[in-house]
Amino acid sequence: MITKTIFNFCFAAIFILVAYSCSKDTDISGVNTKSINIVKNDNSELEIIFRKGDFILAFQSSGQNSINSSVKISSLNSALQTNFSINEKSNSYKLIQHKRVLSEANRLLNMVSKEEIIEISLIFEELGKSLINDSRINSSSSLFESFFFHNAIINSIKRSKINGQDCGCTPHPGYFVDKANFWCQEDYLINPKKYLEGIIKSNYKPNSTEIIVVDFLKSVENHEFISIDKLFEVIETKSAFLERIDYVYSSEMKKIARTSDDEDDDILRKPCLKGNQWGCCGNYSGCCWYKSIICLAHDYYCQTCTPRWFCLPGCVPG
Amino acid sequence: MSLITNKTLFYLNLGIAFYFLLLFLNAYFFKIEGEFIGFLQELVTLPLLAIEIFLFVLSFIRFFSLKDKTENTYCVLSCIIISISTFLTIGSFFIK
Repeated sequence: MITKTIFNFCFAAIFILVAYSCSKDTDISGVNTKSINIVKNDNSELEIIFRKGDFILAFQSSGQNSINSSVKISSLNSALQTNFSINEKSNSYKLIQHKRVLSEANRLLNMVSKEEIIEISLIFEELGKSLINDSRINSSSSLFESFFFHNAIINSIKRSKINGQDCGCTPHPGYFVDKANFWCQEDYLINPKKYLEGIIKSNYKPNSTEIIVVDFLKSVENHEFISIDKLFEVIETKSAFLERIDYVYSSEMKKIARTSDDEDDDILRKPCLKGNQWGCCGNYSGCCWYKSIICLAHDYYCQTCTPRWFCLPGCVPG
Repeated sequence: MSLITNKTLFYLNLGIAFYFLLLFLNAYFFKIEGEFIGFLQELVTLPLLAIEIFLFVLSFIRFFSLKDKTENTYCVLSCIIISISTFLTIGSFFIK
């Protein structure tokens, strides 16, 4: 009798446990069933399989100094594979990764529809958020770092599809100084109000350039999120920033003393206000001919490109 | 005698309206992206907006100071031109 009672009790307990664990990630239709499997092999291989409903996302990353990674995404309606390799041994490898991200994004651009890439990016984002808090993952490892390149590729395609423009990716400067993983600035969202609060609370006294940043944050304080490229553009335009990265990379590669009198090279070297930066009248490459407070006000107002007649053709902040 | 005659005011208003009309045509139709055009546009537009508002006020002061409103065609035309120009340029900043 006692044995039967204990058996019934154990059976009921197991049944409840199984029912509870199954209900945790499953809704009635079973559409939102999700699971994450992580397989690690020493420090040279990482495999993450994420399943959600019809979606299967497989991230693989292997190697030590030269890391090859891929993401395969498949569902009932679509399939996509992104590939990325990175050679950490090569000089200044970080300075060219944004171009390689763009190259892969452009390759895949016509292989997916707008709806598919939006769905894929949501799944990828969900996986990313889960992994950041997962104790099984070392988020600073080189193997996992590749995950961010695939994120950038997918988001670049998504932005291109939504905006109907070429893929674009301005690298987050934090990546170059090991303060952040790879992100396209356009995808990195910040809450301007919290940023502003952080600056105010820290009692930091901004210099003349930084005051423009503070003013900008105040002007967008009511937005819940803004992409960080808008903030960085207050200090330096995207084109000037990318030009600077290219210059540093080519300098590193050539490793030559700059003795040329070539004017264009000098323009890149001199710390002059560029023709496409805020405050310079007009928008052109090279150093600024003439700067004015009027043009600074004009550039500041033209951040949103409205009204179109008031801003320069093509509407760039410069 | 005033520094700016009604005739001068008329031509100034016409010039301002013509400038903003050119900006409009370039932004939506011509789309010329010359460096010098961009330079001038960025440097001159804001001051001209301020001048436009000034001329708008001045034109109406002149208009209301006229005893016979029909006696000075230049003044009346000035008011019409600058009103349309100011309404469209300043108004476009508030259209989202």
